[in-house]
Amino acid sequence: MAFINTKTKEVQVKLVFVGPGRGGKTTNLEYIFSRIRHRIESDMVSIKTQGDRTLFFDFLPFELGAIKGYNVKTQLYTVPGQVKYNATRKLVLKGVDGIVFVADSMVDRRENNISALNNLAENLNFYDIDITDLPLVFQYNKRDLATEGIPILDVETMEKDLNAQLKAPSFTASALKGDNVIPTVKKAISTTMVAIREKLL
Amino acid sequence: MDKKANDTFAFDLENRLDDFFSDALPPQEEPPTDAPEEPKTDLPLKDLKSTILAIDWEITDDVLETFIDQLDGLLAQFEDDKVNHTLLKLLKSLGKYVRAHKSNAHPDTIKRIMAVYAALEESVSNDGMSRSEKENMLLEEVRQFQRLKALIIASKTPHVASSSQKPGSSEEIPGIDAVIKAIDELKSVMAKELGAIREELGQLPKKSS
Repeated sequence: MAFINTKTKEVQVKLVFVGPGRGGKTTNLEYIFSRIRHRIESDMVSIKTQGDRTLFFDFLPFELGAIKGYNVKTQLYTVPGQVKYNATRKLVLKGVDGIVFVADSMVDRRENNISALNNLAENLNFYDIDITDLPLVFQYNKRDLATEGIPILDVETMEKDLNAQLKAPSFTASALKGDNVIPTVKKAISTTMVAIREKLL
Repeated sequence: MDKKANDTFAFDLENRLDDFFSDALPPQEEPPTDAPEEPKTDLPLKDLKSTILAIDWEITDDVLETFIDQLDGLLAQFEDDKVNHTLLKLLKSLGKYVRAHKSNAHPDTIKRIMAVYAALEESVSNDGMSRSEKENMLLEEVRQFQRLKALIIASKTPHVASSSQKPGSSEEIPGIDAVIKAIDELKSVMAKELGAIREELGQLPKKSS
């Protein structure tokens, strides 16, 4: 749930990039950071370890500026995709306002995409959030691999596998090259902001 | 909520997002022209470092294959440097262990990989480090490696001791043993060298104070 301070006219929006391991979530965040670093004061933070516990995630906070008189602060997170880090994933999803699901287009990652989406739904359920109620954007990443002769899933298959019921906005992308990374995050921010607009107007 | 308010909100939002992200490409201030990002990392180890960070983040077959391949390349490159070569062997042994057991590997293994890498980086990039400092650092890494090995053997996790090992994991113990053997050899070489140094020192005429 977005944090809205009506006194200070401040809104804090939390977007989490989720998806299967090695799907390109961190690459997305790194690319976004490289594009906006000159205009933000904050830095991208990668949290690797904390004492003996492992708390992996990346964090990129930035101020978007004023919308309807509210200063909008956005926080982008990634979660580790690896199955064993579910506790971390669950933790990072706490208080999430919007999701970018970064799916891996490689043919042999098809099952991983589906499992990761199911896992996301389960983890959201833990916080009593229905995945169908949450602003969500799909990104079908690594499209550039096709040019290297690596077999990738066609978009229709990915839509059918992941987005048949959710019918969320989706983008094909290459996070490594930066293709469609910004449109993805813009869409995620706008759908999330639209979802909370009633509280602002 | 009235439609007009909704429309202006959407309009404002789109404008803000366009402004924020549109001209965002910094004019000619891309990373390479700026300060070097990792000043102390020598090029031969740069790829290895990012692979280790990738392993720290997530254990996958691809990343472990890359890790082993990079180590093979570096082992050939540092063949004449006993300290670096042994550190690389330690890394390879740990890497092979993680590759065989993935997320079931002992939880300290990744930390150990990172520690051995840190020692290797120090040894390769720190020109001010003396040979004996490097050797001491190596000995400490060896001790920690042996400690981890003992922990793995002591723990009753199936991947080391049980008969339900995956095919291929049987290579693991010989791999570790080979490293231990190499380390023992190194120890004896070092002991000989130290003995020779002591002897030489003993033959030096004593300085009058």
